[in-house]
Amino acid sequence: MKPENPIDPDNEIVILLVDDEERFLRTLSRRLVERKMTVLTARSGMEALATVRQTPVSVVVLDIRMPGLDGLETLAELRELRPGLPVILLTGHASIDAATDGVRLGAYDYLLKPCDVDLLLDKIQSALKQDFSIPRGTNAEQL
Amino acid sequence: MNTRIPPVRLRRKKLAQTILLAAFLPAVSVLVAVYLLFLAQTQSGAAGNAEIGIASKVENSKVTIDHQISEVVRVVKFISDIYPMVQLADPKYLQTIFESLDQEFINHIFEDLGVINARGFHMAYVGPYELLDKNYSREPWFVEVMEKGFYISDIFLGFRRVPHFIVAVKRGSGDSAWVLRATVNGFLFSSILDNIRFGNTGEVFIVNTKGLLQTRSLANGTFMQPVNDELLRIRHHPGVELYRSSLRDAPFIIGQAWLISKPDWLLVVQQDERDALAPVGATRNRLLLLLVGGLALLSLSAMATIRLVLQHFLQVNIENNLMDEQMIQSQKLAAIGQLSAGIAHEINNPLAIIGEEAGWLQDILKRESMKEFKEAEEFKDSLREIVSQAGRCREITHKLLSFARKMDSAIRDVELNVLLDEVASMREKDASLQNIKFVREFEKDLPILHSEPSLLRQVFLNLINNAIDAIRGGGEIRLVTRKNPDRPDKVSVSIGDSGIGIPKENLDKIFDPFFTTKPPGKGTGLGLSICHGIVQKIGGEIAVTSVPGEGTTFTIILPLEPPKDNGARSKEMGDADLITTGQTPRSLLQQHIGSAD
Repeated sequence: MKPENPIDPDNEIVILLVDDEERFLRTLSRRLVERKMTVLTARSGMEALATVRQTPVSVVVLDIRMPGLDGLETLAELRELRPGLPVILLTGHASIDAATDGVRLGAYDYLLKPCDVDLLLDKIQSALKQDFSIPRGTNAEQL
Repeated sequence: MNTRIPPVRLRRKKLAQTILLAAFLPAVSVLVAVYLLFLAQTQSGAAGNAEIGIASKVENSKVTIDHQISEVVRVVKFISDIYPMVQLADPKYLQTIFESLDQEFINHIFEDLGVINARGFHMAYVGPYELLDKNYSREPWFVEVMEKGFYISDIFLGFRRVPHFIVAVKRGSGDSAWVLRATVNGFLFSSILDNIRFGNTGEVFIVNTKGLLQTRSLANGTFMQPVNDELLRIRHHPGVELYRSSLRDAPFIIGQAWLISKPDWLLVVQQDERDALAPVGATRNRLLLLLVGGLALLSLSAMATIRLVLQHFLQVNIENNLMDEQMIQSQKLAAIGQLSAGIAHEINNPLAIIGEEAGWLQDILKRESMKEFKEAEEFKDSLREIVSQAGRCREITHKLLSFARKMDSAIRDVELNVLLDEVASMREKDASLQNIKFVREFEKDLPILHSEPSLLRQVFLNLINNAIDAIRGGGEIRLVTRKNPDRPDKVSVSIGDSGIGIPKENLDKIFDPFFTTKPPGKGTGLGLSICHGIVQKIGGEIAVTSVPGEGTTFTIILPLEPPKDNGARSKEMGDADLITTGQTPRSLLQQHIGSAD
């Protein structure tokens, strides 16, 4: 867990970015911070789970293909750990099936890499307005 | 017209030969064995028959000749018995008797008649020669007749230089003894034996103990000539002796017997064995002809059968090869699909980083502190371009991946005419600018297809684009839909152009991935390969005919119902779903972004 800026108690939105690409993680988090977001990063599924256990994370942006615990497995663990925590899948993977499976498992939505940071922010904002305690079908038709 | 036919590497000729050999070897062996057996049987039989024939001729001829000699001897003895010597010694009387004899014997066999006293002088003589002064007292025949009372000579030429022999009988005794001598024409036996000739070489002749001919012989010469002692075995034996001998490499069958009436004359019957066996040869030739004819007929019928079987076999082989080719084609497409999906994935991650890095710099440039930065505008411009180009790449990879999802098998009712018309309309306006006219020949009540419209659209669009590219300076594209009376469960679509056509050598390759004749950068060489993959996926067949300079026609046969294993196959192929949709980055661009291929 390595917050890019101290958690602001007035700002309720804490984004946890999970990706094994360190450079991507660093730059994206900086850009989100630039947009007044509080950002935590994790380089693996295990690290993400540890962060969620310790910190009040508002939303998780989760890469699917990662070494060790992959995105879908991490998602399943997160659903058990914090059923209401919104998760947005972010993937560069060619297989759409994994992303749609993720949505069935309870992810809010998925985005394909590379994605526009503002689109991601929009997605985060709308995710935070939803209740995610109940798994839903896909609504990922916006590609 | 060039038609794409898969290569068939069957050694047809060799196969036919092998089958023919396998079928024929036993038949030929049996026939040859039967033929040889027949030959052995008939030859030995014929040889036996020839020997029997010759033995029989020896017997018959011997009876005839013995009879003739006996007859002559009987006549001479009869004359000497019934007429007293006084009468016979009277030349006139002897003349009367001689004339009677001449009339009695049609062939004028008696040359002369003489009565000779005990001292060897003629007492009377009737005949053509002047022999009255001749004295025979020292002649061997005279000595012998005086001694034994009877004498038959061998054939000799004598004073007259014509072949003859004499028959002499002695009557009386001591000084009053006398001899009646008759000279007989030497041709007597020859004329009889000449009539007994048989075949081309079969003949009967007589030799004496010295091997001198007493008659004429075809093989040995004329009177008094010696027969070849390599040929004849002159030796005493009872009855008929049969043996084989050869003269100048000619094999002879010889039968011989000593005469009874003239025991030192050997009657010989001989025939060239080949001549004797000639009838067998003729039979053998007829049999051989029959066998060869039979074998030829058998070969013809076997060849016809083999040809039919081979044709069937080749047909099956061609079908198998086609299936193999199609399998290879799908495997190639699968590989391409995996490759392109992999590339899309691999590009996305670095693309994401490029985008984010540029975005980050843009973010920084927006800060208050950067307002003093003189080149800020230049930086912003460059970064905009980086972001824009990364965005362009992102569009490509996103559309590639999203397309895979959108192309997920969705089988719907398809009105083929409507769909084809729709696709054609998309390109018709562009085409008309190049003076290309679309001709629609749609079958009116075409049945509804259950298929994947997006795939069909893609195939038709691709083929129409190719057709447009193939036409130089105007022409037409003919779109035809047809029911198939022979296959009611299928319909066909053909898209033909009046373009440049495809050279024969390229026809085999056009469905191969990356095969293109367009200039570098103008075509990926994947269009037709993808069409092939799609058509195959939806259970159809695609074929091409082309005449260089006249145009190309693609014909697609489509089933009314989707193949049953379609879903199973899609699942099995996993990531390769991208392939079964047959898409590549470029074709996606073509369809979704609209950039030229």
